[in-house]
Amino acid sequence: MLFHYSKYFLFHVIGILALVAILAGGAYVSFGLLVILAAYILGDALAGDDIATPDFKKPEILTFQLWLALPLLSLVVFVSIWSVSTTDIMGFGEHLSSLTGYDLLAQRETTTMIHSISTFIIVGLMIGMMGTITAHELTHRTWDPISMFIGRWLLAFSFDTIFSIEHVYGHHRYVSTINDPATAPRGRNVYFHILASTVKGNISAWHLEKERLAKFGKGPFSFSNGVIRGHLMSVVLVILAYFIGGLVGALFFTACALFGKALLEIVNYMEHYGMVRNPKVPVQPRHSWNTNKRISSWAMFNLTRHSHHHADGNVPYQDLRPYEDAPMMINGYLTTILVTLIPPLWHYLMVPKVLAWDEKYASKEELILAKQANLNSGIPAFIEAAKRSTYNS
Amino acid sequence: MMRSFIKSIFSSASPEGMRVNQLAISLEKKETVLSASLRNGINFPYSCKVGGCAECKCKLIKGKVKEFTDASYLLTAEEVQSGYILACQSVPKTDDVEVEVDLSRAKKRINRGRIVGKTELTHDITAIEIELDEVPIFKAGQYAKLSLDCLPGVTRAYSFASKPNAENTRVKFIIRHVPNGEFSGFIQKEDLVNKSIKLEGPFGDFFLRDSDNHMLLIAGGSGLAPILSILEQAKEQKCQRAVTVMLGARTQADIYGLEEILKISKNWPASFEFEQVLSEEPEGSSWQGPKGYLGEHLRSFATYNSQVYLCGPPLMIDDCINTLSSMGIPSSEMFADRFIVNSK
Repeated sequence: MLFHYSKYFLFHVIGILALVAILAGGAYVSFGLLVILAAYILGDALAGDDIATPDFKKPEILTFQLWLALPLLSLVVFVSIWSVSTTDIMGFGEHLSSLTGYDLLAQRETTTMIHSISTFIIVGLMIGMMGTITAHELTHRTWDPISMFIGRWLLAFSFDTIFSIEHVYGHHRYVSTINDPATAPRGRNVYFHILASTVKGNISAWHLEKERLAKFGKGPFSFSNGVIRGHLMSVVLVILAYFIGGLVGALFFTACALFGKALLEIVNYMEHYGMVRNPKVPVQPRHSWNTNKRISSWAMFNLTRHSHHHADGNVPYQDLRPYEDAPMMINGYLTTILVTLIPPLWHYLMVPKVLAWDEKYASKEELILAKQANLNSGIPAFIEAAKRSTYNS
Repeated sequence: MMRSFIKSIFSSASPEGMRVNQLAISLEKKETVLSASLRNGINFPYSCKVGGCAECKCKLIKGKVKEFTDASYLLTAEEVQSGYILACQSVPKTDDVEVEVDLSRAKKRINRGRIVGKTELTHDITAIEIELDEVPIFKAGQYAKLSLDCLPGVTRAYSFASKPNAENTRVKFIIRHVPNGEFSGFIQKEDLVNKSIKLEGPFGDFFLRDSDNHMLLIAGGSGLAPILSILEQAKEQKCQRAVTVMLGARTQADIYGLEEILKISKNWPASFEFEQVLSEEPEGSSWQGPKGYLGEHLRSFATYNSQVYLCGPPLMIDDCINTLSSMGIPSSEMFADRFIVNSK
């Protein structure tokens, strides 16, 4: 049982690895990045599936594990901004060097542009995987103010506090329909989705807040508006980055934050790509792409068990079940993320999966929607399938 | 009054029951109004289950609930003021919670699907398997109304023969061919694989009640269906009760469900008996078991503190209930599902 608790510490281990790599400077940063990528990609390729559903007697430990993401991510981001800056804020490098006997400042000098790009990728990945994914779990717990507070601050690192509003009150309601900004229609490429989903998600959150405030007779422009408050939190972080690392620090952090946000939208893209749903039918396990790959499931605490998550969004991560009969994603999360980045490869792999989904899972109403989606996709294989389909509205 | 007040202060025990439209239902620890209602077979309207759609809104008439989300994202100001809550986001805090919900919004809960398998169990009993569009909501023992797209205008009620499963959209029904029966005849004769089917429900109050007592389950005809569903679920929930299943049939050729019952009885933590009683088995056949009408053999298997579930033709059920009452089993411990036969 101890093992089942400890497996959800994987992201802390990776976070600490990132921290050490960035501090060590020079080629160690790029080496650290390679180790992190290999851990996820090779790990998922070799370690198989985790379909265990243990009964946790102390769920508060698992919640506390998630809360730790905020101090850990803050540290990683702080150290990374320090590593690209030319100053030594509060003598941080000097203190730590004298404490460890390892000359951090000298090592920082050896960090070339290439290695700084590695830092950028590591931090972007950490903001996405340690920040957003943890925040996703926490901001679903709308009944727990501490989790909401930590979750929203984690989201502020990717300029995405609106996620805590749009995701619960928008995405979960409209998932796999054309009304959901985060569901990618057939034929869309991931780069367009990053932009479209970001813009539409912000608009949707704004409307949700505006309508909520109107019920109390308030206008949208006030501190009661969670969208405004949330974006101000991100502004605070950028200002802090400026104090730590000057203009370079602020720009570096902004770039990492946008990278983190893009990662989230890529994950949205692959979780529901091409799926259609009759809006009158409650969300079913078939309306998400699921995966039970071991390393992804541990490091992302079962976000991978997405079919159950959408069918029952209040279930805490440790109680999500693997749903082996659900539609399956290409591979683990990081591997699938990399595939999305090459649209021709993505569509080569996904078109047959989506068409098989129509065949195996879709209801009659969904087959009509699928035909429409195929016709609009601009992808020959989908259009071909639409022509064969006899389901008309 | 005072005692319950003090109890509510000093114990952290969560309430064990609540009322939905005046019907009393059981509550499990930390269960929401919605999941308790669905688990108890109430066809509560719902959709997203995360407090994002307001499909499950209902009026809190009495008692206190803990709300997970800020319902003001969804409800109107008037609704919030007049006590509306979201059932999927509300956990009862007091044991007098009562909600009122417009069930007609979900009344016609219709689930569509297609038949994916058909198995002949005996010469007149057929099992069909259906793949549904939605995970069906029902309690083990309840029934649904079925109609086939290729047989318009004909609707018949059948009990679910498989346990409810939140992960699975596959369900099973057991259908006996009634002489001249329009629906059952069609089921028996036609090739049904891939045919579209419509399912409305759930209905009925035939389901397992909490108790530690011996469980006597009596089936006639295709009446084994809800009993299989009840037992499969009881096994999953690690039920510890002693079980006797009695199946009344005409001849050996009419016995079915042996394999399923055997599977359930394997590793059952208490005693588990399965008895078949044959009413028309010819003299001198190989049959060693009890003969005659099921009611005549009840005294060998029932005790005064058995809890009894009966499913089958009304005549058989009434006959059994008379015998069981005379043995001292109170009517509050007997639950029956009487078949209504539609034939033309």
